[in-house]
Amino acid sequence: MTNRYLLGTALSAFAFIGIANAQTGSGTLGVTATVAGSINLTFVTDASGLAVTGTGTSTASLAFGTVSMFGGSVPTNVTKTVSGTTSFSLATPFDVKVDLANSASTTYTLTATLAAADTVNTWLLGAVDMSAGAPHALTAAGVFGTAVPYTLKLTIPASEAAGAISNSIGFTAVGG
Amino acid sequence: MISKHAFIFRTGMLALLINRAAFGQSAGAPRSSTPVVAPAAPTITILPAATGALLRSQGPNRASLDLGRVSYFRGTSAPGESSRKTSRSFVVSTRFELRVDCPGSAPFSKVSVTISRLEAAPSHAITIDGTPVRSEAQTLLQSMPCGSAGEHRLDVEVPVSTPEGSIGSTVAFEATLR
Repeated sequence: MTNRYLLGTALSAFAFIGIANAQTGSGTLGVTATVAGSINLTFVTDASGLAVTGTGTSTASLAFGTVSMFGGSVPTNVTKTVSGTTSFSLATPFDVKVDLANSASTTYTLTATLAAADTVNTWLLGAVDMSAGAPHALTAAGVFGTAVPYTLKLTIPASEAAGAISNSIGFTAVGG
Repeated sequence: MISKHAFIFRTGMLALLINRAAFGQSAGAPRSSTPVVAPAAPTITILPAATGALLRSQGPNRASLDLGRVSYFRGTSAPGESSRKTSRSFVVSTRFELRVDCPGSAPFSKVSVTISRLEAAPSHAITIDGTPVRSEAQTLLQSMPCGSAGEHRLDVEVPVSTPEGSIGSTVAFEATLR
């Protein structure tokens, strides 16, 4: 009987020691952030178009290279059209892709503006003449995540002196 | 007579147990008279890491971390934070320091540390050092020396489907003396 009592006391003591050692402390870390909806526009090489330098980014360029009204070579996927003796034009499609994150917008509007107005050459985006440098709406119901082709057509008069032609078109997509 | 000896023997044993001076220690020594103190609960302190985002301490055992304005395509611009994109989400990362003290515990004591989150249906995922923070406690550290601090990486993953606006979570840490 005494042995059982002693054993019981010893076990109780060990159990108590175990409980006493299981000390727990706690702390909390609050984590907050403000998620902003964001929209991203990228230029992509069209399957039938001139290779876009910087494809998949929002800063890209189309380089037609050296071309002439008569003769010479035309880059792959560029269409050259000669209009009698007055002018010639170069056309190629390229894609614009607009993606959206953390926003309830379902469509987007897309506008384009030629950076520097050009009174000599004609800059067409699809059927829209951009030459004046004013903003033009390309679509009011763009579909997110879809690469949409636009054709750039540059018309150069025969009277223009030979040399480099350079300009840029700014695109703005706004979620609706 | 036998009974009397037994009584004296038991009384003597009791005296030995009560008076530790009887083991040959000086009765005046402070060590012999110090009561045995049970260790207090470990304390957790969350601190900013040298390369981490701004972290505010809100008193003992509490801190808050505001990752600021974050977005899928622009990531984050706050110092001490980085971001990366996946196809369907983006992850904002930062670092913080976790310190555990164990007042009254024996030298070389160690704790185990678990993590959990307090909200039930979060719109975003959190991991610490790659360990997902869920409503059930997960082990972050099997063994951490008391009185030490360590730096940890916090990742917040926000799906692109999460509506814009504020998100918030509370991560609970528990340190248990081993």
